[in-house]
Formats: sequence, C-alpha cells, structure tokens
Amino acid sequence: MNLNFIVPSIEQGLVYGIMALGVYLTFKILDFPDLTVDGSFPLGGAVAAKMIVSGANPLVATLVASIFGVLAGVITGLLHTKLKITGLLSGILTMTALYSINLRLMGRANISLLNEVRIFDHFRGLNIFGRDRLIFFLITVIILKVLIDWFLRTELGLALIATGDNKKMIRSLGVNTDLMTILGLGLSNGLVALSGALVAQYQGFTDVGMGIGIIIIGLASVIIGETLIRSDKIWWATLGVLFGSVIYRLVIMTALRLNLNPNDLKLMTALLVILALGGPELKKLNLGIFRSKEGEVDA
Amino acid sequence: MLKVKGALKVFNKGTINQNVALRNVDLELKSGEFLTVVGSNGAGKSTLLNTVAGNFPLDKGSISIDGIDVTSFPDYKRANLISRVFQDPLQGTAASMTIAENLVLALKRSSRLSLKLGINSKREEEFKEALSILGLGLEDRLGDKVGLLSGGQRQALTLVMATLEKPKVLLLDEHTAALDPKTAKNIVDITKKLIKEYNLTVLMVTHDLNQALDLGDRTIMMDKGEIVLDISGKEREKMTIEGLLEQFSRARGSRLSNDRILLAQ
Repeated sequence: MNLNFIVPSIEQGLVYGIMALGVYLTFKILDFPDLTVDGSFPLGGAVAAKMIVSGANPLVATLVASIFGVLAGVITGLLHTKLKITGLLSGILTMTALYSINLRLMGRANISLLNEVRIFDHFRGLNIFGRDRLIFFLITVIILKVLIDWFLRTELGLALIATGDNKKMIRSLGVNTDLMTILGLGLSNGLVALSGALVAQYQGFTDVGMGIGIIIIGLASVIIGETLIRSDKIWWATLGVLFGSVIYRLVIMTALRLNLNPNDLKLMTALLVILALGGPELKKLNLGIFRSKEGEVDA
Repeated sequence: MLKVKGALKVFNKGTINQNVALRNVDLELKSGEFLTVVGSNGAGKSTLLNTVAGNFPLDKGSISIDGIDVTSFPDYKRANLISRVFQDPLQGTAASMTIAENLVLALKRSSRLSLKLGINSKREEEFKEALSILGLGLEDRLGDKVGLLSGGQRQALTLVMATLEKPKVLLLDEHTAALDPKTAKNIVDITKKLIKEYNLTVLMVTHDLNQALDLGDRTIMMDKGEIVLDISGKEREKMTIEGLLEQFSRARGSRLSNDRILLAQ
C-alpha cells in the first residue's frame, strides 16, 4: 500500500486537533455539551476566507476568525446562563443561527482560497525536509497545547475546572460560575474557529457545510485520546486529544484507501463514538442476559 | 457581626404547598459569638442558614454582615464575608482536583482570581501548615486528588478551606450529620480547634441537641419559621436536653413529643 497519505493525515490530525482541544475544554473540563462547535467551525472558515479574498493578511484573518469564534461561544454562554436555556439547546440555537450568518458572511456557499496567499505562505522558512506545512501546524499546535495546560494551572483556570466539577462548592468560594461558563465556552469556540480558519486554508476552500458533524469528530478524538493515554493529569489528557485526532485521521484515510464510501464517513464516526461512550452499558446489558439465564437454570 | 432583620421567606407562594419557612426572624450575632441552631425538620433552621449564605433571596427583611448590607447579594458575592461547610462532605470540595488545587481556590475566596499559577512553593508551605492542624497526614498528600479521600477527610479539608482565609461568619450546616460517630467526633474536635484558633463568629445548624449545648456559647431553637428559644450564659450552662425540650414545649404552648426531635437526630 502506498504510504504517502501518512503525512497529510498527520497534518489534518493536527489542524482538526485544535478543534478537538476546544471540544475537550467544554465536554471534559466544563462538563458542558456544547454543540455551538458545528457552527463556530465553519464560522472560522467563513471569516478567514472572506477576509483573505478581500486582501487581508492571512495571519490577521485567522486571528479575527478566532475572535468571532469566541463571540459565538459567549453567545451560547449568555443564552444558557442569563436566559436559562438548557446547555444543549443553547448550543443548537447558536449553531443554527450561525448557518445563516456564515452564508451572509461568505455571500455564497463556498469560497476557494487556492489562488490566495495563505497563512503557511508566511512560514516558508520552516521548510525542513520540505515539510513546511507539517512543521507550521506542529509548532502552532504545540504552542496552543502548552498555553491551555498553563492556563488550566492558573487560579482562573483552576476555577474553570472547579466550575465543571462542583458548582456549589466554587460558588461558595466566591466564583461567579456564570462568568466561568461563558469564559470556557468562549475559549473553546475560539479554538474551534481557529481550527476552522486553518482547515479552510489548508484544504484551499471553505464550505458552509463543513461544520456538519464536526462535534462528533472532536468527541471521537477526545475519546480515542482518553483510551490511549489514561491519566488524570491535564498535560497528558491534552496530548491524548491531539494523538486521538491524528489517529482518527489515519484510520479514516486508511478506510478511504480501502474503498470505503466517503459518504459513509459520518456514519462510521458516529458508530465509533456510540461504541466508545456506550461500551460500559453494552457490557452490562450482556451480563444481564447471562444472569437471567442462570436464574432460569436455578428455577 | 451578623444581623438578620425581619427575615421572611415563603416557599411555593400562592400554591397549595405554600410554606412559610422564616416568619419575621430577627437575629444578631456579636463578633466571636458561636451560635448553635436547633429545631425539628422544617423548623426553618436550614432556610435561615441558606438565606445568610445567599442561596435564595428573602421575601422581606434584610441581612447585613460586618456592617455591609448583603440582602441583594447572590451567594458568590458574599463569599468574601462568609464561608460555609456543607452537610454532604462531597459538596465542599472538587473531587477531580488535588488537595492543593482545592486549597488554592479557598485561599482566593475573598480576592480576585489572577492568571498566575495557582500553586507555588510558598503556598504549598502555607497549605501544609494549615493541614497539619488536622493531624490526618493530609499535609503529605497535597498532590492527591480529593476524590481519593474518605468522607471524614474531605469534611476536615472543607473545614480547613473554610478557615484558610478568616471569614467574618462561618456557617456550619449539620456538617457532621453524614459521618459515622467516630469521624463525627473527630470533625467536632477539629471544628472546636479551628474556631478557637481564629476566634471565629459561627452559626451552626445541628440536629444533635447534645452537640448544640456542648458547642458554642449561645443556642437558639426554631419552630415553624420562628425563634422560640434563645439562651446563653448561665441559663445555657445549666440547660440539659430534657430542659431544652421542656422549654421548647413551654415556648410553643404545646407539648412536644420527644421523638419528634430525637428521631430527627
């Protein structure tokens, strides 16, 4: 089998890994099932693409795209904490609204960036072994990972973790948990939009539909990461998320090489997540059947 | 130090389940006073504690702490004045975080959170010293997740967290009720030690009449949302459980069956 798909898989794994880190922040740290991701990911792509084709510096465009992602997360947070809409629904509402907003921003359903100057073109100097993109993504992802690890060890970061762990306790210690939830959602969706902006530039186009099911891909990465690296240390967990993302891409690419219909990808991903999340219950179910059989024998 | 004036709290107002939990309660706590609150289930003692903590707003009346009117403050805004130990040992600490991380958050109870690293060697020394009072060896386990600790150890840690930054008022919410007798006794001893060491103003709710008379220097009894008995000094020193029950029935003008309170223990 031709192995030249490995480097692109790792590159994709790293870029999507930034999104997975965002998902990790909400689902694992904040214990908030945030579906905004499906909207903030293409939002990042839309903002970056629109700005780049309008002549903006791709670095600036990527940064602005991330800020838009933060805003999307903040809106979900406000819906949840101020208007008391459930977390799940708050995310769905923002995500749905973003679909229209993304179309408005782009002016059409997709924008090509193939002929534009993209962010990696500023980092041609990283051309080690002719892999400037891989090196660029690797450095970006490592910087982000270290920043997240550091943040979660600061006083503010610890309060964020405690908000996801025990709201009652951290409120009694003087922390406004509403603000913490908004902060966590903002940071998370900032990362997701950054990932969307980089993916758009990496694949050379952005599409309004590129966010569909992205949350499941993020979750799959988080779960694969947890399985690979079993540690309650955040430093290891974030590393696991990135590994999970890369492995997810390698598996998908291999499956495609083996003639899997690309249209079935989302189904496969969903099944993978169902198996991983439902695994413990499925095992129990099995046990239950055995027990009733034993009972019959006894009777 | 703590002033509750004309506190009225009605739950499920206007429904068939309407319940007046606090009926124009007035209460004043002097600095350094240790008050124990007793009463049967539904007497309003937990509601009293929760309104002081700011868990829900009063329908009428006001609360001030150290001269600051906190009536309109949500719970987290009062945390710089109040600290609290819950009945459930699991509620006062974050299980997925280490002992040191929990203590960092307790240390920041009355000040702003910063972007500095939560744990540094100076703080670790401070934490070790604070934990050594417990005599449970927790000072050598700063890096352990709190989820690994027993209920008693977690409650002891919560007590240290509540007193790490001296609060104006310490609220104890039946904080030994969920523990086995031996552990409960340890926690009571630790509570006494900490309160004496920092000369704290304390409001403690308890079901245990023995504990109510043994600890502190003033006791109030509540019934149907009212304070029906308020004793301190000599009168309290002479008080026995039987006397307390008798006083209670006299105050209410109705005979109280012993079991109603005893069963609630």
